[in-house]
Amino acid sequence: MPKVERLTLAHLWVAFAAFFLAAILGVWQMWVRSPIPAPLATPHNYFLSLTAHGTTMAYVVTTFFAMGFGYFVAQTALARPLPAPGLAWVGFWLAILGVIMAVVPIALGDASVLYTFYPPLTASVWYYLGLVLVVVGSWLWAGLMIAAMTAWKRENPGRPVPLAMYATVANAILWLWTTVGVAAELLFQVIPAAMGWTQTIDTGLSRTLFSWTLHAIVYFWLIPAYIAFYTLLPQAAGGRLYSDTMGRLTFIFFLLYSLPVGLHHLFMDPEHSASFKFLQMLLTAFVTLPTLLTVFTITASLEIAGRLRGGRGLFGWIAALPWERPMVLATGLALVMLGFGGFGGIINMSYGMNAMVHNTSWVTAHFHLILGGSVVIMYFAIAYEIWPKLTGRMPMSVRPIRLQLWTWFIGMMVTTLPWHWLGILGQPRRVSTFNYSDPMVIGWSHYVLISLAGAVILLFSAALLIWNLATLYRGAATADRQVGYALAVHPPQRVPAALNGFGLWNALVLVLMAAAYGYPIGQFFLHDSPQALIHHVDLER
Amino acid sequence: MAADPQVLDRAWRLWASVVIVGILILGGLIGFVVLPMAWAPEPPAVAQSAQPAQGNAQPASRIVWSSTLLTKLGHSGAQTPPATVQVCAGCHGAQGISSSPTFPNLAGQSAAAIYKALQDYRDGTRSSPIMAPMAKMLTDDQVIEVAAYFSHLPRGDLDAQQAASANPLVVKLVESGDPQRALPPCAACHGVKAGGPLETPTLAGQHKEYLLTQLRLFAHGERRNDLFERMRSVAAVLTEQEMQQLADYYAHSPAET
Repeated sequence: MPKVERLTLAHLWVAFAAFFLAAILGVWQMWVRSPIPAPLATPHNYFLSLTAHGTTMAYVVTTFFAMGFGYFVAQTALARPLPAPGLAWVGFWLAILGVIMAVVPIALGDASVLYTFYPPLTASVWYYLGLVLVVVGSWLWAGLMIAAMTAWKRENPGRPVPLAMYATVANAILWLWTTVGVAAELLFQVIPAAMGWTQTIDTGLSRTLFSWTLHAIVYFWLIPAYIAFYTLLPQAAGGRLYSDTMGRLTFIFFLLYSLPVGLHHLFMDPEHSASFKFLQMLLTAFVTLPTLLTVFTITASLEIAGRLRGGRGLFGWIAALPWERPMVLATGLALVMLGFGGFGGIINMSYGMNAMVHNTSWVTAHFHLILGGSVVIMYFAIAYEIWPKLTGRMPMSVRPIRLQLWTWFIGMMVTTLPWHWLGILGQPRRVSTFNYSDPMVIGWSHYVLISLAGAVILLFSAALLIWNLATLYRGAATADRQVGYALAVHPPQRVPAALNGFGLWNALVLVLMAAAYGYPIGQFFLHDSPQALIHHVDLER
Repeated sequence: MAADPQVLDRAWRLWASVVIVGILILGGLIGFVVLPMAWAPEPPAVAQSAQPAQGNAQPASRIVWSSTLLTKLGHSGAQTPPATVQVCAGCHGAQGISSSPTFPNLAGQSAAAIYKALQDYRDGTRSSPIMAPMAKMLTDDQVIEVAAYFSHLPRGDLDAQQAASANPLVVKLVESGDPQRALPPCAACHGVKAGGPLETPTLAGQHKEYLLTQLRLFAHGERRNDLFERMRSVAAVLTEQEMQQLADYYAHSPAET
């Protein structure tokens, strides 16, 4: 097996193995919150598990998947070898070392601060150093993606960069911007606190810096799914991409509008004025644009495919689509979850409505539908699509693959729809124990039980995923190792430099970030701001 | 003209910048001009009383934790016992293991907890005919020295065997609390690596008699130096038998429980 293919497989295996382990924790957490007594259910264990689940799902699964898929796209879409594959392996092993350094203190109960850190709670310094290494590994990936595109452009002057690679580099640049906030928080605030060099921490500043990262990171997770929508799905459905330009604009919009919007995570925080919260709320509203553009373009692309396959009438093309193909099925299911999750998100970002759902299960439901639902199901579809290209073996049967996708969809809907309702009823998130003898809380119990049933379905699906991936090594050999990236209806011949690079957009991101975050961060240095005493969770009492 | 990439690009640069700056101006206008005008507080309809309400409420403790204080508590000399300690040693033992089960062991106790206890005795928020006059003789610096000294001593040898065989109902109270009575788990504050307040004392290896007395004092509201009535609200709903069992549990629990 060529080395670069091994590189992609190594990243994806780490991602999916971590995903399976974290899924087990997720079910147990749901069980603890339910009225049915769960084994080992103490608050101490719950928050340990919650930290492990969040850290794994948010940082490990997503980062390794994005890196592995990025290396694959860079090699196949550009049809040239990856520059400096040795450096890619360095990034991989750095990230692996980081994961081990972070997971051990979590398991020892020395890092139960949840994956969003929550200073002044302070964990073992190894936890933070481990996460820094994961990020450093991913920075190497981002640099390699940019280098690959730059080299290709030099060799192909005037030609448009293939959309899959353009989008991958958009994600790499977005990731570099995104990690600035959390890196500043960790390096200048949290790690000095964990080392015992400082006794107090400015939590207003640290929350603000984390908010810089916290929304854009979601788009870093999401973009691989969108790359599949634009470049793999139309081909899998037997059609063409409706518009290449629409794709480029979508990824540019993500770069522009996912960063200067993080204050919508701090609507209930006192350290920012309503004016800046409003400004960032307005900018958040623009994040809906790329998704609406995508829903339009993808639906149009699917309609092309459906009509090419003989579909007639207003809706006849839908039935004519090859739903038995995993990529098509996963996209359909992903769009349903994206619809529910997206509309929930619009409620979260609305300043007034946010006050009603803030810190409730509603929010947990929202990000599970988006990340755990539409994004992750597309990760599965991408894996099923590219695995045969990587191993040279066809799937033995498509039925367990379809079953896995369906059970993930059903499980996620059954888990998260009751959560939304529970959130409206006032059920708090990040709470380990509920008093089900309370007259108000007893009314929640059947919704929680439905969610628990959903979680069990999800665990089944996660196990089936591992089974399916393992069987992909035992199928019949195939010579077809070419990846079919979708052609656009009008393939681009020449595109303006603005749609073929990122110089202009980086400058505009800088303008947006200066306007949206300049004062909100600067105020902590201009005025005396209250400090909080550091609270070490890794020290004995 | 439209096919020339140079010309195309100029238009992209111009319009992209205009749109972005336009959105920022729109957001700025609404956020910083229109909304503050709409939100301007109305003057109160009725003149507020100039006289603030006179209350007798007093804080349960007057300690203010600062990083300077915590640094002193963490770094004060542990090697040589300060002279003051000789007085303490009379009851609490030179190695912090007390001579009578009614006096608490101080060896390995959190420095913040000892500091708070002494300060509370000094200003009268915690009362004791023995400790109050003793504490009042100390200066601020001596309180810090004493607290730091005892906190560095090793905790006593503990009976892990007995803790392992503890009553499961008590273990449940310690680890999970009892939501039906709004009882948080003891371990949420007193446990290892717990998230409780800074001044929370370590209970492991403490004398049963001492722990039981304190629980009873909290339950009857005779001890009142717990902020936000945390311990008074807990102790008030514990039964006498649970207090006995919990005191016994902690008296025999190993340091890491």
